[in-house]
Amino acid sequence: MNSVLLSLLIFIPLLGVFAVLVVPSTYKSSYKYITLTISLIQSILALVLYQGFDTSVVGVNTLDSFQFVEKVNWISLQLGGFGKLSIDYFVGVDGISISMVLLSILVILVGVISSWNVSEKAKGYFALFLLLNSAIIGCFVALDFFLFYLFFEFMLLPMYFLIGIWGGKRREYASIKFFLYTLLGSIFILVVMIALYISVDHPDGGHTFSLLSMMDSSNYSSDAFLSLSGNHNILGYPARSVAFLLLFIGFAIKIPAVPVHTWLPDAHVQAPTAISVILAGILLKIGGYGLIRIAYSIFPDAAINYSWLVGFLGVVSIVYGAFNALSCTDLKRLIAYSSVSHMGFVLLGLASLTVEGVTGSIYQMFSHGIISSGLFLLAGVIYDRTGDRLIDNYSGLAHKMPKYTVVVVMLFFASLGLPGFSGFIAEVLVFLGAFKSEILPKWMTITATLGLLLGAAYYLWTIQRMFFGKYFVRKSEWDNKMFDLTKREYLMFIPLVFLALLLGVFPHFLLDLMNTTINAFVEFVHKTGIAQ
Amino acid sequence: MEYASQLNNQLQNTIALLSGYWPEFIIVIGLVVTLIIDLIFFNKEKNSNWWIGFVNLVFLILAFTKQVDVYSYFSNLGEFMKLVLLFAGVLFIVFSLTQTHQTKKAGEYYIIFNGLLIGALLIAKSTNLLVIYLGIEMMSISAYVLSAFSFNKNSAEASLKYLLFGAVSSAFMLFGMSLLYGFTQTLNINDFELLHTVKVIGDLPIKLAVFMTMFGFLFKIAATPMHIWSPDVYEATPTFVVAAFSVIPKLAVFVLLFNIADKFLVFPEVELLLQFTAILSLTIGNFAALWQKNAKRMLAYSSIAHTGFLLIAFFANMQSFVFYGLVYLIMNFAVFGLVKVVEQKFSITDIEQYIGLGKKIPLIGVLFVVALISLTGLPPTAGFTAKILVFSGIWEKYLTNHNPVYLSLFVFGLFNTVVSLFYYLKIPYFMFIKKSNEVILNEHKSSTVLTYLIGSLVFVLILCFFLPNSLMDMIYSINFAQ
Repeated sequence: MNSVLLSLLIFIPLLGVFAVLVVPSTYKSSYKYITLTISLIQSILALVLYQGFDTSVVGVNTLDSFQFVEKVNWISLQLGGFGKLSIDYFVGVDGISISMVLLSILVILVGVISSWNVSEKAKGYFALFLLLNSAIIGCFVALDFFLFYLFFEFMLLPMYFLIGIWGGKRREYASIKFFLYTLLGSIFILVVMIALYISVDHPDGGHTFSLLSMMDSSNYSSDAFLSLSGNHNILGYPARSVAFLLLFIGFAIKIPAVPVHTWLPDAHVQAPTAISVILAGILLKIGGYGLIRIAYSIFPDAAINYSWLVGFLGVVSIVYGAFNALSCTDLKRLIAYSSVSHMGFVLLGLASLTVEGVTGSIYQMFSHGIISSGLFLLAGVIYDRTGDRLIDNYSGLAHKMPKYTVVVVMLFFASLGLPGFSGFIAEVLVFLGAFKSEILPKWMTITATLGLLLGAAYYLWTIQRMFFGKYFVRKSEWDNKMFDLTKREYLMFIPLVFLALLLGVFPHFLLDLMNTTINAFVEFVHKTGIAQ
Repeated sequence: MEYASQLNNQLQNTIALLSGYWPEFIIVIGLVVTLIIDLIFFNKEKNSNWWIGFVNLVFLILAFTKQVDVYSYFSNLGEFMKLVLLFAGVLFIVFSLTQTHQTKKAGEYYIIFNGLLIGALLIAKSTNLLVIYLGIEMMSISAYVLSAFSFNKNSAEASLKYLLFGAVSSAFMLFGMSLLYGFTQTLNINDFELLHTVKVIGDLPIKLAVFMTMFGFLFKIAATPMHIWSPDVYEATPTFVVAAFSVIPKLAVFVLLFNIADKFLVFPEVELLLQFTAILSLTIGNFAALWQKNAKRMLAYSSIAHTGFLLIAFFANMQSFVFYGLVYLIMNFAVFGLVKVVEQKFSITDIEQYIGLGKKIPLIGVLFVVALISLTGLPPTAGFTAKILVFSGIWEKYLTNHNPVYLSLFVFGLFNTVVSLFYYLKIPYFMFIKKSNEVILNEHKSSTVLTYLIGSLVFVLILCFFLPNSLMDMIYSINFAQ
């Protein structure tokens, strides 16, 4: 059953790129409308996808239970001594990826609206934006490792230019740092991809890049380098463990986990608002998604052995990120570090390898995607008006911008995990899973709770400093620029706040979508992982 | 009587085999014709430069089509790579044709280039020490002269340096070859039985001879530590000539290495030497490129690093080498072509002067990005496919022989990719990202044909990523067993 829906989602933005390139620069203002149209079409398709998605079907490791599958032979060569090279254009969704696809489409739509004011080199900006859009969707639906890697790498270049050309003062430094870090990570992933490719036999002979074949232990011949029973070593360590750790490093850079997180604050602070939104809302999730889809699913045995490490780095990220956020003077940097802290929960939940924990982990990705997008937009609102984001430069904004303050308070509370918001559900699930887990020691989870406390501290402190007290801005000429939210800005915030609330009160919208898949995933990891 | 018929048979065979040399003959004829045209029409005809180039192009295309026949008959690696070399030659001449009004001494320019090409073709085909030496010298001497074709002080200096280094390395190589001849009593490498000879002569002299010969070869492919000539030469030489330098001699000598591999690599030391050179070339090439300010000099170091990659491909398997070599050819011609366009338009070659050019010449900027991304080896370009093939090849080799050196080739290769990104991105960085203070540059006209040519090369790079099937099928149809 081939369905073209996912391909449409991936390739419609490419049509947009073409349209943007063809329309001459004199009709500059049409670029944003093209981009918006594309995003709206994608949103409609996303609704179709959501409607057509059968929540009772499993996914994870069996081809039959993936939905909207499209599999086309892309490169297939019968090579002499080299075996058969086969790369498929192979896409499909299950409960985990569909939630990410929906999130991406939503965040991209918000991103388009927030780039409404971009007029400098608009052609390049919107072309790159659409290119990024295409790569993001592709990354979440790819079921062929090569295809995944292709989209994964393909996000780097547009991102590099988007930060580098339209970014802030130190954009040059930030963009190259982002690029080098992520490329380093993807090199680790590439190593494992090649090793897996050579180890996994295609059912029809030769090798294959299909992720699903890689998950099936019967596809590894007994002497294959990464076979489950194999006793191959790399420098004295079991090959499968090394491969898992390499993947973990690669994706940890993307998430990002401490100690490979240092690119994130720089990239965020320098990136234009819309790009920060995409970066925090979607790109970080690819790290978490990759861990689930690739590292944990293909190496369940190593995953069980090293989950404590994943959890440990998660806890370190939570606490260290929160402490850093506490000391930040720049609002955007604060939000960036809060992202590091919140993405730590994703790692902790996944490492627990319980149904609750993994559900919490994915829920946290979704919720953080919505909330952090909102937070970066908030920082953008202030920056648009004054060109300055230092917390100390403002005080008592509630008097001048009451509506803005309401949104800020709501999103801050959502982010720190107040009951009633989506962040709360996610964190509760993560903690439930982590406490229940037999893999993670209890002290880790207890330490992680410190992150909640610190989160409340830095958010409340920021609200107190910036919004309460006597009205004050550093420079008098900013005074008349401090108008409240415009209609366009409302348009961006309303869906985000609404969703954060909706998912906080009625979590089953999202939980139902992914429940079956996560159950199967956890069972699969335990069964395959311990059997070895 | 019997002897006479045997001789007759041999003669018949030789004549039959000679038909395999048609491409070379055609080029020689072309060379002579150019010489005559140049003598008669030089400076008398307004468009003489163009005509000379065009005549050469016709002869080269003729040679190329002839080579297609030859390849379909023999279909081995050497003949295929000769096709590739001729293709590079055609590209070079087409590129040069777009610049005719600037080419000084066009007659000599094309004649000497033909000399270089014939040398390369001989190297790619032969396993006879004398012919190899002849080919290498022919190629080298032409190269020494061509590198002086900018006709300025730097160019002369580079040419002299090249000549001095080259002469010394040739002397070493010739000494090594003569020793080999003495030890083995034959000039034909296919008849070498070095392991057997070791028993007769002893270990050290033979290995010394092989090493000396190898050093001569490594000099030609600019592998570290025999690379010191190349940055100076690349910087001062006319840009298209550099493009040819970075591809033609390199690929020819690599084919030679393949041809003699099973005779020379019987000693583990020789293999280790090559592997060590690969790692050194990669690392030194990439790290030195980080500090370069001149685009051509940076690309010189980049091509040293690519020698390292080609050496890794050499150890991986022939198929991945051929693919990498072809892609490398296209990438290098594209990038050097772009450097030339900028050089011609604004007369600059320093990377820092590229500042803000992205706004002025966006198309060139985009082409630069794609070509450089391909050199780095990122998708969606053929450079990525080539790297994947090389790395999976070397990994497979490692799995079969468990030699840690292969693993280190793999690791060094991969991590050098990250290093290389840093300097390749410098050009897009200055073109697009760095804010300029509106330096006013004198803008000259540049050839639009050249831009389209480069555009089509870049398009091929992308096409080879998405649809590599036909190219791969072609490569896998090569009869590698010989």
